[in-house]
Amino acid sequence: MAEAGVAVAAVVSLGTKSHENKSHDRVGLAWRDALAGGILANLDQIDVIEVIADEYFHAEARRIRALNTLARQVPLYLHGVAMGLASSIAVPPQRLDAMARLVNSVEPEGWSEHLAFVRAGGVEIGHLAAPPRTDEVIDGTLANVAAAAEVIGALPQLENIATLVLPPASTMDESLWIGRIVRASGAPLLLDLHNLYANALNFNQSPSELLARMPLDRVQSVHLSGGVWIDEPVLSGGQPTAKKRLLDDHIHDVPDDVFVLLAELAARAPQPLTVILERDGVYPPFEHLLRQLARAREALAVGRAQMEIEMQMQRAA
Amino acid sequence: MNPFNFSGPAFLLFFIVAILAVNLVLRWWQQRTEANLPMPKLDLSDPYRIAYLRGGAAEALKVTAFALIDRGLLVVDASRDQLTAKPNAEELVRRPIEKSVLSRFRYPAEVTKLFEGAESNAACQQYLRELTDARLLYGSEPKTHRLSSVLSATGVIGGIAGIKLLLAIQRGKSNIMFLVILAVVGIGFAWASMFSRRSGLGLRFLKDQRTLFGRLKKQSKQIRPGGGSADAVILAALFGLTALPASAFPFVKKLFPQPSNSDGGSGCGSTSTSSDGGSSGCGGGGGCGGCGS
Repeated sequence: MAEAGVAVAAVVSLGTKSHENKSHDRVGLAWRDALAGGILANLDQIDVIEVIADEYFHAEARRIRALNTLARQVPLYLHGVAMGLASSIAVPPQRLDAMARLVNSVEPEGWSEHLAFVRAGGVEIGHLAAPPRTDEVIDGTLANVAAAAEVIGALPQLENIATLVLPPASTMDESLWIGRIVRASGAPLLLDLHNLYANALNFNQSPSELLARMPLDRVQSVHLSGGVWIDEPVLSGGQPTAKKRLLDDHIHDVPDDVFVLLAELAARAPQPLTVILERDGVYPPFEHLLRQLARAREALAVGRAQMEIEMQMQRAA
Repeated sequence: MNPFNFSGPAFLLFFIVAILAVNLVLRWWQQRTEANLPMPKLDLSDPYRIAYLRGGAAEALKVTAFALIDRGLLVVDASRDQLTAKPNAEELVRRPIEKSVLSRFRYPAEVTKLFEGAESNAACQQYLRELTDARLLYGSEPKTHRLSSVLSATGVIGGIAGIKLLLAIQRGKSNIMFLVILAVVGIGFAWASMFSRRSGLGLRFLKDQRTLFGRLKKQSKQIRPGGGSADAVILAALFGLTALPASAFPFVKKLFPQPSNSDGGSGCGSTSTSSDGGSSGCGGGGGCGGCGS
């Protein structure tokens, strides 16, 4: 499958109308209708927006045209949520066609999808599920990414997902699994820091160490969000436990620790980063979201300053 | 069925329908052609610029006044036909149009003062320049790129009238006055499109923004006063003040009783080719809804 990865690696750009110099870090917000007014009024503080692509697959032409107009005003990414790339099952062609049509119509700066499986046996499970981290799934994922890049005309950014249970039958850890996929496919990584944080805490790892093991040189974008602690899910035939799990729910504030992770990422990944804050409900006043964006900028600045210091020290040594 | 053989009234009816059809097709063609131009980048964070695009200077000033009232920087007096700026309010705003509106009401004054010299307002002039540069608005000069389509429309209308005139003269008829008048009016409508204010691109931009914010309009009853969010100002800028829930913003109807020009048509003053068109004419009564074309 490495050949397929190399082949699609040639397809790297959407050839869209870029707005801004992408040579610097950017901070933005996921577009939600309830936030639209606030986003519009504060575009001077929002560098980039991300729109859920699936909501527009069957939209009227006027809505898609409106999205195109929005993409001319502010850098815009399309974010898919139900393609199911990380699977040994091929993505249905109609899903690829739908994304291709939307990308062609909206002309976004890029598009992204999750490293998740969402269907099996012809059944859509309506959930971003973590697949077994195996060689077979890597092969399937690479084939799916190659097919998507060919149909859509650009590689997606691939996003790590959160999971409440360790994927059964896995033969490798998350960072190695993701690293192999992004390197073989040539696709950039959309690193969801809250997903990483949740997975680390849920499975007794250090978030910082898990971050360090990720392919940080492949990170192009970052997602920030919040979550809530819930009781550990009871698997079939199991007994309830007193353990808790951190659920990535997108309706709580970004935890302080995740901003620390962002600073650590900015200190280790010299390439420009695009950071997107995701909020899917229980919307606070918009000023509160703007403060979270400001914290993200601060974290990036801290990380960049730290990187600069380390570089100076290396030069001095 | 040759329409040129129709009797006088029947032909005139046919001619009226033809004139309407030609003018509709003309405007559709002009807008379609212009709407397909590349969409420019615009600073969307300024809702007053969008209000200006929608309805001209008076609309931009109305939306600005509304926003300032909602934020408590401009106070409506008990009788609700006078406005007064809060002391030092000008230091709390950053946009030139906000400063301009507040400066007009340093001392209590009637709402009509808002519209005095609307078109020559420096902030509005800046919006006009920006929107004209972005090809979303046109200046007052003739739109020469529309000339070919207008000439085509003129040819169709004039051709129909000419053929009928020729036939009428051949048949010894002399009651051709209505035909000539209709032809002149029809051709005049076609040439009027050479002077319209908003471009097809501008109309598309507004339509697209309204589509994006359609849900905000549907849920407008949930908007609360107090300047806590940008939703009220965005709604007013895109759809006009009438889109705001009257229960939450009762002062709007009192201050601006005439309906906002929210149909995407051009606004007051903007149709004028004079240097100060619409300033006094639109200010009377505190509204501007009827001035557009």
